[in-house]
Amino acid sequence: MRVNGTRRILRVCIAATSLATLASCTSLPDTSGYTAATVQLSNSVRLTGDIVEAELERGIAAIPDEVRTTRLESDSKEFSEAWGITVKSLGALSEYAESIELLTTAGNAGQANAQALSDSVLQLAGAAGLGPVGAAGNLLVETGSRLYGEVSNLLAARSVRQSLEAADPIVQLSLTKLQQETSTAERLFKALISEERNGLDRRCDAVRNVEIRLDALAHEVAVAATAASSATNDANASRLSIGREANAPAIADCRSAEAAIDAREHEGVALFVTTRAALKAWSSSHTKLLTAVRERKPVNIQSLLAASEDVRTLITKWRDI
Amino acid sequence: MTIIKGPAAAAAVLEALLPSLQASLDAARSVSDDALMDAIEAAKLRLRNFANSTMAANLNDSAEVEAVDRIDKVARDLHSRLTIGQIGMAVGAISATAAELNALSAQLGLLTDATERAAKSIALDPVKKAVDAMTAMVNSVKSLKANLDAADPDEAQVIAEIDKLAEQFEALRTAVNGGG
Repeated sequence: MRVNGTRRILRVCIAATSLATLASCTSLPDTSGYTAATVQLSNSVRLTGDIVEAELERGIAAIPDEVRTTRLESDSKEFSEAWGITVKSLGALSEYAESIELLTTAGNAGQANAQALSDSVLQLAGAAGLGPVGAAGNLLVETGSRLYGEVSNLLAARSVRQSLEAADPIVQLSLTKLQQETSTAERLFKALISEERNGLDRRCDAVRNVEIRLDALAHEVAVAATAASSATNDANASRLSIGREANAPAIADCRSAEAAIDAREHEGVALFVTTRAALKAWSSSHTKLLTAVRERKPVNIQSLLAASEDVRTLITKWRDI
Repeated sequence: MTIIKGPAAAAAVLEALLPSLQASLDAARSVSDDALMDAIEAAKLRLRNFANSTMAANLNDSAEVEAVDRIDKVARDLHSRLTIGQIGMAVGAISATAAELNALSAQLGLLTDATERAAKSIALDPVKKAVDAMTAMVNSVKSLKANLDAADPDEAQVIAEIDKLAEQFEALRTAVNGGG
């Protein structure tokens, strides 16, 4: 009886192995790069919000009290809340990408998972006093694990495909909305930067007028120099020098403030442009992922990874300003 | 940039500029919010360029300098008021889109949950958890039985083992229901 039982197990094993070979599938695409890029994108969108928040503070501060409205304060608060929701939506996209990765990992690790389950079952059998399973039992476990490795691959491929297909319209619409948010935020950013320049002009107008007067005076002194005595020329040169020295710190302060605004505008706009490009790459990568799963081909998301790297570089640059 | 010298010239240029700005904003308003934002930005630039082009004909005449400053202030204040309008518009648009994104996130969240459940199921997580919980229960029952069969059972130990068994049963129930 025991010999017959073992033969039956062996027959099952051979049949199962053949079935596994027939069903043999390619690995599901590695989506870890996609998940990492999604997280990077989320950081980038969060940073664009931080940038606008900081410029809102600076821009509003540049508006004179008599022009300022009480609504400005609630506008700032409303922006922070709305951007929080925008970032949260990217968190939802990241969690979604992670769930796809979890699924492809489960599909690719079917044999190991089945083996772990078999180990658990053997432990239960041991605890319940059913005794060791023997060589035939071990063979059955091994074959079952291998077979499950293929089955899980098929199951995961189907689930990944179903999930990607169901999510695609939501993902595409979300990305359109995110691009819209980023564009509006960029317009707001530029509006605030120009207000900061306007504020700087208010502050520096008088200083610049003094500089113009000094330049004019220098011209007059130069014209009169030939006719005037050396003592008069020396006195005029000395007065000019004192005037320029007195105005120099204020001029330097204005120039440095202007340079700081220019730098923030330059890096800020670059980050907005790159973030929008990364959002576009993310959107097309989702479609590529879906195609790759449908056709059981490797997924190519190089453009997304490159965009993600650009974003990372700019985030670092911005933090250095 | 052409220099506008003296308060009279500055006032004349600003008077001519304002209706032109109004016309460009009105035209953009009928197109889209984005077009209006861009038109406002362009108008602000013209105002700033104007204010930066003016100067007193005689910089040593403080009355004239002040008169030009007052005209500049009109342009600069209008610039600020336009910015305030832009802030309100942009924040309103961002809030409205954020609300739409929130609804989309909720939809995506449901799909994420379903995908995670499928991943766990394919990874045999619920079955493995149930089997592990059953193994723990069997071991507890064996331990309880051994204690009860002893000549002098330890009452406190028996109570602790029954409590443990109840916890393990709960763990099994959760595992079978696909939780944990």
